[in-house]
Amino acid sequence: MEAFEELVQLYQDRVFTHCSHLASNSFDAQDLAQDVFVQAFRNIRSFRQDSDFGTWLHRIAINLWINYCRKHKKAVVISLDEPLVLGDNELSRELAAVQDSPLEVLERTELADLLKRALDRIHPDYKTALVLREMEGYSYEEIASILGCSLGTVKSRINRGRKALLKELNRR
Amino acid sequence: MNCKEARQLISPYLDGMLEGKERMTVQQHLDHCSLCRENYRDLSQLSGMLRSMGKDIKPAPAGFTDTVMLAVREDALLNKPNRFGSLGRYWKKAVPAAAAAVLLVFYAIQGIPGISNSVTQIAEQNGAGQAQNPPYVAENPSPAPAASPSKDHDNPISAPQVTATADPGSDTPSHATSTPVLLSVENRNILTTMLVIDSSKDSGEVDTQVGKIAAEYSAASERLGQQVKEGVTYSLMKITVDRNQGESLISRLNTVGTVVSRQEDRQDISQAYTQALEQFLSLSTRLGAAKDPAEIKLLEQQVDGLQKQLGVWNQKAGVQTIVLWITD
Repeated sequence: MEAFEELVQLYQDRVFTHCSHLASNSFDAQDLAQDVFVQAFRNIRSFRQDSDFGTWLHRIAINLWINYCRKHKKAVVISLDEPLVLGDNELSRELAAVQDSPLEVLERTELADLLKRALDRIHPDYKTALVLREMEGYSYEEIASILGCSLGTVKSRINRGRKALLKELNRR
Repeated sequence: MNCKEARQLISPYLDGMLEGKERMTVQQHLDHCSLCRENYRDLSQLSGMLRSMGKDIKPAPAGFTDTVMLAVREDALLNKPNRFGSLGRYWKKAVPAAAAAVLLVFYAIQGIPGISNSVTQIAEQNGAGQAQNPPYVAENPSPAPAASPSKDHDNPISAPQVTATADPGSDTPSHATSTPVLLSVENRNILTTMLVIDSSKDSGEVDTQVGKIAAEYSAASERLGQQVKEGVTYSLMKITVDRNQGESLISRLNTVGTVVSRQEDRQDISQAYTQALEQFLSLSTRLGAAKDPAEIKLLEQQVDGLQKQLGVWNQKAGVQTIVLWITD
């Protein structure tokens, strides 16, 4: 148990960062990260010594997240008509709609916040593929292995995910 | 290549996933089509921003390791489903629930004659005995692996009598001759109370005052650190008190500040408790009849693990954990 506690200390920031990419808010990320370690402890015997423990934890996080999304059919969590709330400022869609380019809008607002909100609005399969590719830096082959799907499916999800994300940003 | 075809390939082109002729064809299209070139630029910028976001390391919140380890221990004890596995469970709930498991203390095992009596009768017999036994701290609070179900699993009540010769004062339980002090059915839950207290005192003064109040009730108090929730910083403290004295202690906390919110969580352990008890009775019976030394050793380990598990639950259900969220 003490040895596992050391592992938690060692990997907690990395796992929490991964979970923050997947979950839509800090509380969900904390819950997810906690469940990752609980799950890891349950299945510690199945961990192969020759593989990377951090990657193994990451896969657990992704699997838990995907299962959670499937179970709760998590797709669009906020109404498209709902105005964006950015801290103390509220940005209405009408305001965003008058801008020429979604990227110009991004430059004038909280980039990461907007992008994260947009990511939360696209299909979770697309989001997961994009997070793994762009934010975690995995190759297409690695993503296919992690998600247990074909290379073609990965290509398709990343392609569609990017389009969906741009479309989401265009709406603002 | 037309624009529709090109748009399907811009994403893998961006990632360097195209080779040879295909790559060249996309490149040529982008050279001549301003709309697709604009789309490529947008996607490229989007990719850059996402990558930039991914580089930020987000440190886990303070106290995260402790909370995780408590959740791991609780999970190992109860093997309960977690939020992302099946059931919902929020961080806010995890703090008091996890705090309840900080000290895994269990009572000394007391020998109980007449184990062939019904579970209810055993519980009644032990109502007084529980209070008389001094607690001791488990050196290793992690549970033993769950014992495999026995054939007698469905009928624990009729388990044959186990020779009851254990010395009640002994801290070395004899596996074949004792059973843990049992919780009555209505007490098979773990009670955690969360209080939000608005206090004008500084944190040092609050610590001292809470410590004094806890001491009056021979209760343990502990500072858990700070949590920021919705922009408000809370100092977290935990008090573990005998369940019968919890309400009285809570009423004394009014002197620390104004109690603005109170929530109670009763974690039902009855199902897991009953299962462990059934296994315990069943395996004890097998142990009593076992002749093979290897089988005896294995059964002793399993029975010991179950005894400890039941003891941990006894202790947890016997106390009330009060988690204070104190605003400055």
